Amino acid sequence: MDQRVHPMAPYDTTPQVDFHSQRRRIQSIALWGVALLTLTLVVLIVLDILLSVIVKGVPGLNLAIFATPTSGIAGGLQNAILGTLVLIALSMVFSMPLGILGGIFVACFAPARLASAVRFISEVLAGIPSIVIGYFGYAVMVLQWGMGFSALAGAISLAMITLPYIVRTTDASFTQVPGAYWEGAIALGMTPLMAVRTVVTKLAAPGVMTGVLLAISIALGETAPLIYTAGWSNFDPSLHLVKNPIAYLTYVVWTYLNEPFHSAHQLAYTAALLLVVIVMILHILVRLLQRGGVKHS
Amino acid sequence: MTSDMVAVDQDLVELTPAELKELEAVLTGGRIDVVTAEATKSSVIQVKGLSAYFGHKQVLNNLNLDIKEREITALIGPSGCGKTTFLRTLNRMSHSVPGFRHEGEVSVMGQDIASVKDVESFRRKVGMLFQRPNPFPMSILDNLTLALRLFGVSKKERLEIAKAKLDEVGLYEDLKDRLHHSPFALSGGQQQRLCLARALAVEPRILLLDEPASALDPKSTRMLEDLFMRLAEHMTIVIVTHNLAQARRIAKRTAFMEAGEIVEFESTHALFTKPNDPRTRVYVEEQIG
Repeated sequence: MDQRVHPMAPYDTTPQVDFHSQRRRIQSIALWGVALLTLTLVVLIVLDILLSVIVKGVPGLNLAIFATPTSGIAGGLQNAILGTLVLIALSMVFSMPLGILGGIFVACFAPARLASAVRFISEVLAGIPSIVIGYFGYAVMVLQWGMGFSALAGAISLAMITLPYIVRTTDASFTQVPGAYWEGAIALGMTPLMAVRTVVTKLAAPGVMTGVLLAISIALGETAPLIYTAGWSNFDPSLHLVKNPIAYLTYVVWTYLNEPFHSAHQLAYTAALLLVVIVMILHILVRLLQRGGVKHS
Repeated sequence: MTSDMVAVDQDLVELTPAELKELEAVLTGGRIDVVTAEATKSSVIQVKGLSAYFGHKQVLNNLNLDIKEREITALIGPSGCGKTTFLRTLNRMSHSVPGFRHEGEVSVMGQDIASVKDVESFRRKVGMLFQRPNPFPMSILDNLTLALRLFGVSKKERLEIAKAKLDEVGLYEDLKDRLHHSPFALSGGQQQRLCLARALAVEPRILLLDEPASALDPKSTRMLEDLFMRLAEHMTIVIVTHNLAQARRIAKRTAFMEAGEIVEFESTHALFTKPNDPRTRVYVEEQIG
């Protein structure tokens, strides 16, 4: 280390903490120790979950799982896999346009007071327990609106879970775009809408996409709102979006583990494995998106 | 007009830009106290009793000045004196800040800014260049043509304009093979010239410059200054700068602002050599040292 002190230095720059160095070193080691310990704990827990899902789920993995629907407590998972995809896709039809447009409105166009009101409402919605949303879906959509247990009722319930999430990430992505880009566009005579649509959106898009992918992975893992709204079906999903119950993967995990049969347990673990794999793929996509960013930025 | 300004008669207007430049070089080492056709120039921006507020805070206090067409006017003064707010009021950018309001009359190209209905068309006529280069996150060509595309200019025409404007800012030769590349690989000076070309593409008549060279090295700064001087032959330029030497080099007139007021508005030469107001003298002398 360079020990020289500049001749013009206004005060003595030699280290003043020598006296405490022993104590400092011990403190430092202790903190590092605690940090490492907690990190190890987290990693171990995740590994434990992953390993037990893999160990118990992989034996049940075969082509028949994808090719046949469940029958009672045996069979494959085709109906549940397709049902999950239908539910997610349908819920995104509702929550993506609403959430993204809402987020853009809050970030770019809403007057400050309205924006903070919308943000507050969105946070409240995000804080509602999913089982309550499920029950609301049951009372209002399934019973009152006469949808019955159905793909539509399930998808709308899922959309209510993911909507505030998409609003928040979109809002954050658009707010983070430096004002200079917006100003540059406005100064050329673009309308605020033009500026947001072309220049600002380009910079916010990766963040928005990340939010949507994470919202999808949240929706994938939801069970509570679907129990009351989607029901369960041993058949593949059809084009009938109301009055026809629909199967989904988390139901298999939740219900079949309680059955006293090995074939049911096997299906539950395989369903869990599929969910974990899909969520992992989504998170890898998110990472790639974040690393890639947009072209020309 | 002060006696040590170099007065040139009206024939000068007929000179080509190249000849003008040559003449400039012969004259005072880049100083442009050359008075060209003074009498024929009219005021393109007229400010009468302009006061401006952000909420309850007053930021501009009773400004009065006339900015003449086809010349460079500089605004100098300490940070926070309101020069940027004033500049941004001229193209109504200040008005997009919540809580901003102005009193008094600001007439730009004969139109009171308070009564502008179509703000977008108005801003196309009053371009702006910012402190830091802000190319859009798209190809160099798209940077130049995006606004034109939104305004409905045909593709062929857009390409022609883009090339012409790149050429005007001296970038065409360097970039003609890289039009589809990212602008972020360019140097800061090149990026700023690209932004200038982008601003010029929508054919503004007035150009507002907000410390356009403060983030650039001296060579790029000089290059930009040359460009501004050439542009001032056919358009009006208002520049905010902290670089007094820059104001001296390029501006025909300079306004010194302090605490939201215009302290002095004079020909650049007079302001720097014989300031009338003691505040101007202190600022100018301290800054130059």
